[in-house]
Amino acid sequence: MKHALTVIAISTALAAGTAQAQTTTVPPTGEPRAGRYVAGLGGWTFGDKGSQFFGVEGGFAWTPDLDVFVEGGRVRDAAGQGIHDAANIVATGLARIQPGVIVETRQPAVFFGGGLRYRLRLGHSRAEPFLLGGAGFSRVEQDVTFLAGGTDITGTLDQWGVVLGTDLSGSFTAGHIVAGGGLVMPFGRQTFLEVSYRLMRIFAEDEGITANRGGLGFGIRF
Amino acid sequence: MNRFPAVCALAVLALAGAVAACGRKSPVAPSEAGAAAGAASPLTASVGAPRPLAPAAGAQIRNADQPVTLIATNGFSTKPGAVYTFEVATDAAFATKVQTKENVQESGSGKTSVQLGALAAARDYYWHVRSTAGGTTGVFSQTFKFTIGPAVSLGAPSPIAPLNGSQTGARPTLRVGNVSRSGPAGALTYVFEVATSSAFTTVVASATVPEGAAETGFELPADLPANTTFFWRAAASDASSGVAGPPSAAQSFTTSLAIDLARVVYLRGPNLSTWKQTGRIIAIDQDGSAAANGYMCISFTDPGWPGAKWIYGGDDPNFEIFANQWYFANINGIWYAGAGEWLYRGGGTCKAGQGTRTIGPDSGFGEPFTSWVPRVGELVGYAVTASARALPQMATVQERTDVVLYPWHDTSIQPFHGQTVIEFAR
Repeated sequence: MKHALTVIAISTALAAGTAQAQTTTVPPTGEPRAGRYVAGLGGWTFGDKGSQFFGVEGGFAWTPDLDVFVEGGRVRDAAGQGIHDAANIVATGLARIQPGVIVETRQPAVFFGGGLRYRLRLGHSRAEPFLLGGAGFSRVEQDVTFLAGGTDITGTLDQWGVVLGTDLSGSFTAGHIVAGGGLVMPFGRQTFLEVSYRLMRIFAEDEGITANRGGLGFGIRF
Repeated sequence: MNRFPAVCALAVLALAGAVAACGRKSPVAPSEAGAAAGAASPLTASVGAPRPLAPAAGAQIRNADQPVTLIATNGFSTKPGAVYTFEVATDAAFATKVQTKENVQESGSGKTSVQLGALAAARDYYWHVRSTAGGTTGVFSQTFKFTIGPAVSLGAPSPIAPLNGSQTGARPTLRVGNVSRSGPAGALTYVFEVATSSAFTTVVASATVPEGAAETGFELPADLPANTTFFWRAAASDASSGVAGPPSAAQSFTTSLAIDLARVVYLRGPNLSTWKQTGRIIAIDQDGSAAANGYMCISFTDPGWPGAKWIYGGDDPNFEIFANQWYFANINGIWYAGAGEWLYRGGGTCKAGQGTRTIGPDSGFGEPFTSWVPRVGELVGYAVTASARALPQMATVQERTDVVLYPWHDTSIQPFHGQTVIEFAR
């Protein structure tokens, strides 16, 4: 959690410093800028497990170089190594009774958070790189399925002498931090495309979950 | 002045703080933090039930084998530090639990066990086990039933013979009165021990024999050293219940007149110390008086020794003998012996001519046996062997009875005032 605080503090300090230094700065392009935006994002996650994600982000310009944003979305499977290890322990134990037990694990995560986006200037280019940092909450679902001979026995595990804990069932909510960067490419007067990479670290209780989100987005400024 | 950006920045900071706080859902006091670090986790473990191993289902356990140890094959859990709960009940539904053992640490050996306290005898019991780990209590395992056998108690045998201070031969028969018992005892056995000290630290002979009708005896299978004091005792045991009773009071005896077959001087016939004992003397009936023709009856269990063709001629060319009587005389502290009268099947076990003044001279054994005249009451040794007097021509098998000592009788010198036939108890 110290890392999260550090990232947030640095981001905030950076944002504040930049805001103070550039409060009078005019965008080099000289184009009028809309103060708010909303964008849809989607893409792939990689890290502990490869998957997909989608989400929505919105924000406004706090200063000419700094946006405040909020985001929400869903990662289809953010499963970390911890749930795999725990599920395999159970599957191995079950296999002692019934050979051929296999287990499938997924950890879908719904996330919501916010943060700051710092826009970098590239001369007169319309493309606009940015760095971002933020924090939020994720609700992670423990989706574990045990199969014996192809039959789902997850619902009858008590008959096999197994009781699943919350490490392999239910869901939990944990804080997360996010950091990353990307490139905004405006087209038209209000629309833009975005390519971004965001490292999201969910502070699950037993073992953190890392989701590297690389995606594309389409947005509108207004 | 638009304050909205500042409010949003504060909101971001608040959000970050909240995220930081979210890192621990179960806050602990500072004093507890060290102990709880790494252990306090809101995600509970998944656990799999242990499996009962022993006592196996349907096991019959003798009451004497208590305390019972329950052994379970370890279950599994996704977090370490599992503890087990064992329950024992007198009904399969565990409505009447008689013992519960909780917080039994899981063993690293793969099997976790716990020793029970005493259980009442002659009852059925049911047991199961479950594990708890990482905040999750698992389900109980399948239930195993076992039965504790009935309670049996045995008394101490009462020594009959030889009692303290007795003089015996080399192979005395140890006899005890059967023990008292309570409970449904099975077939009893008795362990006899012979030792050189009353502490029984050096046991020179021991045997387990089945219980007799009213008394139980044990005949030593090998000769004890002569002129030595020994101690003996016996204890009963019931294999079915596993109960062993207390030993009898130790008794002593001395083999003062024992015959050491390896040290006997054999004047006629082979050294019997290497012959296998396959028969035993049942009774001696003897009278050295001339009026009684010096009869000598040595009855014995007939092991079925084969016959040896008679080589000294006669009317019947198929005549065979199968045994010889043997006489042992202690002359000046040395035992002398020889093969005597022939025995043939159908001819009985009594022989004449073994009078007080004829047994020596007529033996043909040679000196000093030839000059030997037994005194009334003098202990004389007797045995019967397979054909042994005309070896190797009439050799069959190298087998014999035991050698017994019996006081010489001569009614012409001293009339009997008691038992004339000694039956050797077994």
